[in-house]
Amino acid sequence: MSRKANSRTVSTLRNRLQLVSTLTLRDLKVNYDRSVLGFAWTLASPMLQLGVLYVVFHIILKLGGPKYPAYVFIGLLGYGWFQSSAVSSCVAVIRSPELILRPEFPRWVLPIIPVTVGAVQFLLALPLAFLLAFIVGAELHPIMLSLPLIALLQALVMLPIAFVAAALNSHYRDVQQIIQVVTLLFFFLTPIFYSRSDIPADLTWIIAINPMAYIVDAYRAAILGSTLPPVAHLLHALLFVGVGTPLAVWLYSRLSYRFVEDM
Amino acid sequence: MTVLRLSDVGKQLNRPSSDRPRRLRELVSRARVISHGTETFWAVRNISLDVRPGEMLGIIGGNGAGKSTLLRLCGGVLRPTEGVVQRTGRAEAFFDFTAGLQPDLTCQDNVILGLIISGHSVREARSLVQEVLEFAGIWDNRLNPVRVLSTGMKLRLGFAIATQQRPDLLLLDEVVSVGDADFQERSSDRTAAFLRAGTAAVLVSHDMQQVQSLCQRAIWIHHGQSASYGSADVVTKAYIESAYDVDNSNSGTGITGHEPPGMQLATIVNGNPDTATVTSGASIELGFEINVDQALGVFRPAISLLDDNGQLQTYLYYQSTIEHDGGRLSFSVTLDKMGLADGDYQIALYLHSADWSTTLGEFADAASIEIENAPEGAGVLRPQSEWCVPNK
Repeated sequence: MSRKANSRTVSTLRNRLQLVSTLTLRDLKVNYDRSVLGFAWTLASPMLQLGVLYVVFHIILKLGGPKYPAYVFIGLLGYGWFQSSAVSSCVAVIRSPELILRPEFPRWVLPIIPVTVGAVQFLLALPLAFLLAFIVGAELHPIMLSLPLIALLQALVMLPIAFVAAALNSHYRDVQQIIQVVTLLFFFLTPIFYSRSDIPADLTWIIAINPMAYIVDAYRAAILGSTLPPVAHLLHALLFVGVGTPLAVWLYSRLSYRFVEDM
Repeated sequence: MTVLRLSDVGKQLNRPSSDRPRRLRELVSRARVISHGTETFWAVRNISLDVRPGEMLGIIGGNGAGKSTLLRLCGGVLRPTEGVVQRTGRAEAFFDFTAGLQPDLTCQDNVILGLIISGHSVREARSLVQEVLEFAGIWDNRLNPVRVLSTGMKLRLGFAIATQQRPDLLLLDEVVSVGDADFQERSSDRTAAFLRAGTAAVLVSHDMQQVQSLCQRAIWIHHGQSASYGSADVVTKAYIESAYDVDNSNSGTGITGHEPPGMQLATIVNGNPDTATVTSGASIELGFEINVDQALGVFRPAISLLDDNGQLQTYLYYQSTIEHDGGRLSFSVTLDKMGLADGDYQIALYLHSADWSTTLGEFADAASIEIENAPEGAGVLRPQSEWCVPNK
């Protein structure tokens, strides 16, 4: 490849990255459009969530130890990113007819946006999780450094789901209903309120194959200093990414030619 | 060299009636649905065309003929069911009234997003914001969301963004006549400059004059098929003549008239009701007054003049359109220097829809005219003549 073609590839790639960041910003702006607090909601909403958890588990139910609100908060933070991105990826294509109609618009960008929007909200709320962890006595430790890798893993797990949901929902609107139910189901199949040791032995396979179970526990390990889940479960998650991504991209590119017809 | 080439392109779409919510069941039973193939139709078929740099191709045809589908196939936004679409270079399109804008974003953010999609970097896009907004004439609205803009403003903004940078292929759907006279001039100047610099353009239009003046070649789409393809003059004339033919076949011989239900016509010819005797070479003023129950909407009047033998001698139409919201409707046309042979002539009046696809009303015997005192000679045309001869 000539140097000129090389530099064109680089500038195209940079353009696509800027497109992703601009569209991410668009969604964040539009989400909080016409609200008084505006962008501050990205921080205010997890803080309020935390307040609710504290009142419910610490004051009313007196469940778990002093670390329990932090434990649940971190679980909710990770799963919240997953859930909100999965649900909004369903409309990623159908709410942007203006973009689909532009000849030069790269359609593969659209399902990435819900994942990056969720990532921004996740990252903004993350300091709160650390603050909470330090209050309940967590200490600095080397596993913390793995946090960016865990977040990256979560993004990689979510992308194939987002691609499939966005593509299928453009043609079959049932998908957004199904996704809502499935994310609710997985909310309970993921150790958010309970710990994986609470699960009956004959059902542990559910946790083993659920990538989000590995991910939320890995966050807890990184932030609270608890032990990392088994490496085998990490391999399951990587297998999901490795098999799911090419399938999802294949399905999306096949169906993307029908987006305009289905509008 | 061509920028755009379509070879035997066809596009099958679902029937609009099947616009019900889609169900997952269809996915499960998809093989069956396809094998039956019941609900699809060919929106366009067997279309071949090419557009060269610096050339504008017009797409004309009635409503629902497949013009917009064809334009979207040209832009690669739709994929053809059969045939091949080849494009080279960067395409920009102005397909519809959303104008590619995000309603909830501010005008300024829309410009930045639009320019990034066109391939600019964020920094370039930021530096061009003012230029684009000023071209669109909405600088004062830069911080307002697009949804509060008027339709005209949106179209101007969409056009300004799509044409900020010269594309290799420009696809326009009925938009060159967007906005006030000032903006029209700026936008057509910009389009013309693009064409001179080598852009290839495709224009969907209902305005035959516009197609004749802007396009070198045109394609007439009728029921999804190419009815005529070639020089813009020839294709637009064929299209207009076909509109006349439809009128004529509707009314049988073209002489026994019937008034459309709910419409009464009164015609004044040179100040007289219905009929008048006119000296050959004088002008004829036809005043029409129509009482009509419902609103006709946007329409285009046309008249024809038939001689004693029922032969068509002229067919003329109003170059623009009239908007009618209901109630009494009157308009007039003056035919200058009617140098015709002696005899009786019949005037018919047609009210076409703006795109010529349907005839809203036709009055085969709108008026009768008797021409007298024509210069002696033969043939229907008898202009006043002046001879210059050598002196003895």
